[in-house]
Amino acid sequence: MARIRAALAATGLMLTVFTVSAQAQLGAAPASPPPEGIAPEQSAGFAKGRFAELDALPDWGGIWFLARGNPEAGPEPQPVLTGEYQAQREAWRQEVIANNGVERLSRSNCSPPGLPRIMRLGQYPYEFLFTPGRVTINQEAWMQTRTIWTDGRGHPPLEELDPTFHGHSIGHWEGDTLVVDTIGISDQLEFGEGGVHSDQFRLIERIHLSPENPDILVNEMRMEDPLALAEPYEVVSSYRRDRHGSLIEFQCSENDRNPVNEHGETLFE
Amino acid sequence: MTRILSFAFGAALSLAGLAGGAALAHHSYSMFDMTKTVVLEATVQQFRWANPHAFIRVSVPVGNATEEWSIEMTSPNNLIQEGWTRRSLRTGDRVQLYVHPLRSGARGGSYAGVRLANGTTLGTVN
Repeated sequence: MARIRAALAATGLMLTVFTVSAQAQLGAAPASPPPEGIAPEQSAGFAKGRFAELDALPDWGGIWFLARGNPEAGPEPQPVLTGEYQAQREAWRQEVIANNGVERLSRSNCSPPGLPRIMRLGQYPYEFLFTPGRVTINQEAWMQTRTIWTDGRGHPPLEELDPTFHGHSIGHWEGDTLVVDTIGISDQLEFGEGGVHSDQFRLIERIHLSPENPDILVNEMRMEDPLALAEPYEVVSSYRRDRHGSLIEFQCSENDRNPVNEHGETLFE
Repeated sequence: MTRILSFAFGAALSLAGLAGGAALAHHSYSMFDMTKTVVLEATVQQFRWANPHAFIRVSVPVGNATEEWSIEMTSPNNLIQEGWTRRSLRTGDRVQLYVHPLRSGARGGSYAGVRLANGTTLGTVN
């Protein structure tokens, strides 16, 4: 009982400390510096007063499902990798073949694929939200959020970026086409079939409505990597609109019937 | 109920090729034999309408015994696109389920289509 009382007292003490430190921060200078290369008042952080400008942007309302490719088209071209990256992909392929087609996963199926793969998922739709200074892509898959800064900021220096699943994206409008430039994607993530890239990887996306069909959104993806890619890798993804659809919650661990065991094998429960 | 699968993600992609674009999902479908369809005369035990995959647990009478099957579906939002709602199945419903079975031979599969008790169908039933 004495121990419990001591623990409660300690908790109370901690709460007090937190409260005091939170109060101390009120009124202090903002913690984050203004974005790279723009005046502070241009930042997406100052959105008020700029919403009317958004009406000039194209009509991307609703949610968007990846449109399946033409089955007649055959296999998609794969990235042309350089020396060690090509050798690594080939080793992965050989291991899969030697292992009766079993690919050993190093991550849970509840771990998202990151860019660029997450923009090419067949099962889970996307939505595109416009607010002043940014485009937000909400992905039903793993409830991931992509932020594309359109307030004119540049990328921070690569060495200051923490490598992440979505990297750092900046975008601008060329007419009705959103051009997105992304760097800082983790070099642990695959693209294409089993290949990985270096930390120099860059993804450029040109996203626009199809001229033939306004309910189709086209994403022309171009990938560059001076270390891993012998030539730029280009693929096109298309999405079809469900005007009144909405994204459904995705809490993977609450309904995970496909855990990965210690051997990297996916299970079915 | 946990079973190890022959998981042929890489081989299926690299050797057969994925037609018209790498449409990736939450996990590979290579655990299922997509060339085979099994028809189950089934009674619904549970219908779970949630990501990453909707899911149906059914019982299937076989002779004097009853088998329990786990059927994985696509995402609820994809199912909405083909006419499903979260109320399309209820516990106790007797249905005819068309599934692509697990390669491992375990009693599980990937949903292809269903004929409901009232005769209406969803998905691919043939």
